Amino acid sequence: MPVADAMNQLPDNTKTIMEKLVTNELKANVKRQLDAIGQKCKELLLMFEDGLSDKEIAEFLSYSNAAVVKTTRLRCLDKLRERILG
Amino acid sequence: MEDTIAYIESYFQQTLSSEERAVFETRCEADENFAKEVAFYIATRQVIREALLEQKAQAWKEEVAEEEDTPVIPMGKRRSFGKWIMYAAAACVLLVVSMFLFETQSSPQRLASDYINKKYSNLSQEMSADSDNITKGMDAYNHGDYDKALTYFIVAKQKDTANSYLKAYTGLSYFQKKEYNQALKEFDTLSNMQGLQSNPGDFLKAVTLLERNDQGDKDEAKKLLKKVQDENEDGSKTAGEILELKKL
Repeated sequence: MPVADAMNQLPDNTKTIMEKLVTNELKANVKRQLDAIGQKCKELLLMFEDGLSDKEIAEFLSYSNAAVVKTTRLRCLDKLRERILG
Repeated sequence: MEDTIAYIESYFQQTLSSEERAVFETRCEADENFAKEVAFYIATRQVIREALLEQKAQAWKEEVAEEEDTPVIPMGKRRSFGKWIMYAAAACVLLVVSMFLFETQSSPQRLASDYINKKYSNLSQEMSADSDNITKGMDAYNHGDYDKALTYFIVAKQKDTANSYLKAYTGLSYFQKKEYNQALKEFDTLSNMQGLQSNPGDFLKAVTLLERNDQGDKDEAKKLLKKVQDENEDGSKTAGEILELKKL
């Protein structure tokens, strides 16, 4: 699901909080660090954002199965998270 | 921390129960650290989406540049045997296409794709196309440039998430590109939208399933078509015609 739609899933109160926290500064920081987590991670995250399922990504990138893709993808996000939130 | 990210993701992927979703939302409001984790997740997804759109726009520009650079061979300079090979190839293609059309003339797929081609080969200005991106996307779609259309529609959707036409147009662009899984996602979101005067979501989903024709797709399409017919939704007449076919 595209994240813009995802934001709309949040109830108004939560959405207001998130709109305050998702600042341009945070996004710029994420953008800077995205290249630092490696090309493979970036490719995986881009494919997921493009709407491909973990199973489809596994087929495209020759991972053994969807579960491996999911674990790898979450590790990539965690790597990025470490760089941003510490 | 992977667990937290997995938990946040499951919220946005809508795999949590309604009780779990309520807990998640309360936690966002009460737990500052957790709220920051969620904000990080949303910011990351937004940045990745922007990067994806940039990548697609770049790929499209390169494709256009490549087409413009392709040299055109003047007809007079072609060797004559090449011409005969071309004729033979054209005859083969014609034969295969004729056989295919004969075979599928009255198939559900044929009726379904006829409907799409008749009704959606040209997107009209039914909506107030006040966004530049929507107008450009419709123009690209009407010229058969579905990649370009998608780029515009996806950008427009970021700003106008509640626009039902945009969901239909994005899905139709994917449909025309034969990316049926993506098309189904868009039509599914559309069919779940409430309060619309008319909603072709279910019918478009059924048509896409018929075109994809994976295992179980026909049964699923049949159920949807029945619903469209029973509830007199958009496309109910064609739904009835498809349901009457023995092959379905």
